Amino acid sequence: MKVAEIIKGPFFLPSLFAVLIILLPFLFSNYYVGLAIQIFIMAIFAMSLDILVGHTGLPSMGHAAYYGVAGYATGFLCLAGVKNFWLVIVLGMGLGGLTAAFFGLLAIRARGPYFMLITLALSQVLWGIAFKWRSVTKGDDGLPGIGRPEIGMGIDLKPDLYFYYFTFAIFLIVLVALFILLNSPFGYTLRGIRESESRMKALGYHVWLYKYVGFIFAGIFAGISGALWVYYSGFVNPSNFGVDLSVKALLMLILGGSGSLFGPLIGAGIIVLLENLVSGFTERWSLVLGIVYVTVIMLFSEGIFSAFKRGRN
Amino acid sequence: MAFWIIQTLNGLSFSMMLFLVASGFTLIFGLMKIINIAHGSFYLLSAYIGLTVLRATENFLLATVASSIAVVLVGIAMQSLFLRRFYMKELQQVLLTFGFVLIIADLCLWIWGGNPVALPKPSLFRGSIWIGNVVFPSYRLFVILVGVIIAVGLWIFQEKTKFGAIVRAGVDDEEMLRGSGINIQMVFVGVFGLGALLAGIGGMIGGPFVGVFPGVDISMLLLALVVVIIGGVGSLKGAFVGSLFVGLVDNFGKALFPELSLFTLFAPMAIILAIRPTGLFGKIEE
Amino acid sequence: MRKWLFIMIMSMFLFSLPYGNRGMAEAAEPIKIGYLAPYVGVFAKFGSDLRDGFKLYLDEIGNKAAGRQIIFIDEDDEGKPEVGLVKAKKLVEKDQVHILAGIISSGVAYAVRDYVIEKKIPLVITNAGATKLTQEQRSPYIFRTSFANCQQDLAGGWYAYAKMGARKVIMMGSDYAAGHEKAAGFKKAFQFMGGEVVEEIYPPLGTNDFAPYLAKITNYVGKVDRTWAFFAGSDAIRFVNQYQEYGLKEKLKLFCEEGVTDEANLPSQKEAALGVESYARYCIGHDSTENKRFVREYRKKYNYDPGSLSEGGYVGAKFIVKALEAVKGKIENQEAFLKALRSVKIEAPRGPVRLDEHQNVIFNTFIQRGEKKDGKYNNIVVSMIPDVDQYWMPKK
Repeated sequence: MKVAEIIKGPFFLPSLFAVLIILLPFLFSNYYVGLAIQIFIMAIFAMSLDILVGHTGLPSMGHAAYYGVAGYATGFLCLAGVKNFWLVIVLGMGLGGLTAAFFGLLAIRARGPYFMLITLALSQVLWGIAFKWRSVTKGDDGLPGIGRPEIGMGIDLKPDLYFYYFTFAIFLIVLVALFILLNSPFGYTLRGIRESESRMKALGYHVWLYKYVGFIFAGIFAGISGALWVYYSGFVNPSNFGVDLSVKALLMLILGGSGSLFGPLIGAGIIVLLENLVSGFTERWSLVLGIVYVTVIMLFSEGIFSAFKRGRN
Repeated sequence: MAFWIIQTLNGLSFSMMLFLVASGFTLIFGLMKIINIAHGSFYLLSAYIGLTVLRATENFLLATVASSIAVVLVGIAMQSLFLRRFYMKELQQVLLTFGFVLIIADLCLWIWGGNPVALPKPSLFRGSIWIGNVVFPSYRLFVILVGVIIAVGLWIFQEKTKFGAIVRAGVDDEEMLRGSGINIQMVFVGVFGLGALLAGIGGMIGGPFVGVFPGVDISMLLLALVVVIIGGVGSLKGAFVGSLFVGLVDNFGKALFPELSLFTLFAPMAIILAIRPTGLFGKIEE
Repeated sequence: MRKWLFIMIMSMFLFSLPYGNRGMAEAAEPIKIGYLAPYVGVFAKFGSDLRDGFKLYLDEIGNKAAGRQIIFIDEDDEGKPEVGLVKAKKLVEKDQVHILAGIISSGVAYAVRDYVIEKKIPLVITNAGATKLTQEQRSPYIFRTSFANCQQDLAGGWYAYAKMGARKVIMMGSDYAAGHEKAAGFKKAFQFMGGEVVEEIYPPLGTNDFAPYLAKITNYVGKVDRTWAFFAGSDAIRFVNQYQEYGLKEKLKLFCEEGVTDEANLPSQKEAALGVESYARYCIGHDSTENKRFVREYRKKYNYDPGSLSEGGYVGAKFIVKALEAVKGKIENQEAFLKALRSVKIEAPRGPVRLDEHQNVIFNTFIQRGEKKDGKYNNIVVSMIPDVDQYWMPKK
């Protein structure tokens, strides 16, 4: 195979990327490793949201709900002494899915902007509970001191370096799982629903049920990211339910391109880097971010990754 | 007895301020289906501009006029220059408004600093009056008055004017509106400007007792959200009833059960979401 | 076309990554101080006050200590613990700071605590008052030059009983850790002296309308001697204003923690704060030479009045610099530097300060009162309780 052919092939960029990711801790300081961990966690969160936004056409504005539920569950379990990662992650996923199952019943009745409003309001209810129920959640003060979990096999996750590879591994697993899910007949049906609900109904599909199951899957995968984040930051508080988090995930999808495999990762990368690095340059970092978001949406409304894909063809 | 009167008046004054902010939010959503995350930013901007004018002139009316004009201009610019491009693409519109929240909030922080301030009250309403043997600030009565006047004004606008009829039609059935030959973009700009104006007036009215500070934009947005969920989107009547409900329940909730304070705000919202997600007076989207 | 524009922007951005530092300058072996504070959101004012005070001292000494240049690198922690931790890592690992300082929010302090201990980086807290940080969770690496959430409150509790003659109080504080910790401090000393707390009410942070809570206080008029209050920022402004609007100011006097009638709030409270007494670690009206000079310089440089946060930042910087001078600038000799930090005794704008055994500051507590002079509202000193530390208890 000629070199030019390899470079144009579909596996070149991802493989190059994977190599860079593995070598990252040796090229940059630990601070960047920490940022990379954040990027992977947010990428998982954005990918879970993409099931709804990119594939089913359900613009959820309250996705942080499942992230937060899993996060608090992780916090409670850890502070109660449960150190086994696998136990906690299954519970986190389960609770994320359960919350989605409950919220889905309420939200999927609505469409479009109404759906957005309801999902937003639902996540706010959880925020309000977390904020006010001080006896359980310690309210705004949050629960600090959450340590790293044990995954067995003698691996210690306390150093960021190992947690980084671990997070990357989880990311890959989720990536593959979602790839399988979204390229299955189920995934095709979801996209069919996004294209035209009426047509799918006419074809005999139980549209509501498909949306509902997709919603639950999104909650389950969001739960993974919620748990990982709490393990990384060592802390959980009501902002894990925040509307800014839900909106940020949407921004990641817009920036990176929704409906694509790597779009969420790219979007997550851009936003996490922007947020962390711009503040090193100026106190007006919030203004800069706002201008960047507005500019990108105005210019690249279909997502940067999609713009690239189009350019490549 | 005096306790109940005071708390009712209190709740009403808070309700009226909520109504100002929520009515604009519900109009914008009802007609254009935009969740205007930057709605609280109108409150913020208007209160700060009003503050500057107040410090210079000590004239509350003038400050209100100035801040209203400013906020309407910003709203119109937002809609016609940016949001309009994404007609029917609600997701992009919402994200744009999020960008504006950051921009407006940081500009305000840069210009006015982070120190929380309370706007000085209009000189006529600085004192407190006696109700029975209890004292009540006259400014709160002014707030109730303004709220009622604006509510009536909006009702007249909606029911009795041509523009109001167009808006009502648009909220009910947008396709019909588009087909009727009316310049729908002008209607959108007008309603967005009106929404901004209402929120801006809310900022001036709320400024003296809620104050203005970084973060008030998000708190106002969340309150508007609760009101609109309970009252029903797209409905001014819903916004009014929702505001009354939230203001009174929140007030009495705090007075009678202070340990449950935030819960009194979110529990009704959660219940409505579970039973009738379009709210008490909202339209059902089929 | 757009694609290339994007690639260009991203490349510029990526290549600039190693250079992102505000206040970064070229110098040989400078000492780097990393600073964490919130510059956006509800704490924005606190963060900028804290930084302004800190930088004022650095400017006074020409940004040099013991012959070495001092580089001040600050980062926005947004008042959020997870952000604070990430930024702390950036300061320590990317910017290679020798010492961390600042921190408004106790949440951020708790989040950063384990990290600084693990990395053996000294942390000089110039505000966050969470008591555990210099008590159960103390460490040789953690210093606090501001106050602990109970410190001046203990003195206040004693003063209310012993000097104000109060025997019964009703307490109202913000519903978060600081509110509860401060209330506990006041209550402890007050009850120790024999006083009674009839009720404690904790409205949530960001309460827009205190009126419903004030109704409860109205029931106690004539039955208690004082209302104790702690609120911060816009909550404090609303509380004090509404306390007056609902006629309580004349009927039941307030005795507050300093944050309630801080210099920053007085312009918004005006008459409502006139005559309101509070206890404070810093009073702008303190009549010492050092304070008068500090207030003058601060006003000149920043064009606004310094409050307790400004002074807190200032004192933190002075502590660090004095310790640096004691070790002749060799901050790398960490053991000596830490020892020097522990032994610093200085004359701060608030008066003489030093650290206790658990590395929390000891200072004189003021009793102050809001007054109006020449059309301006400021706090004046009414009384002073000397040498108050975090474990202070009154003598009966």
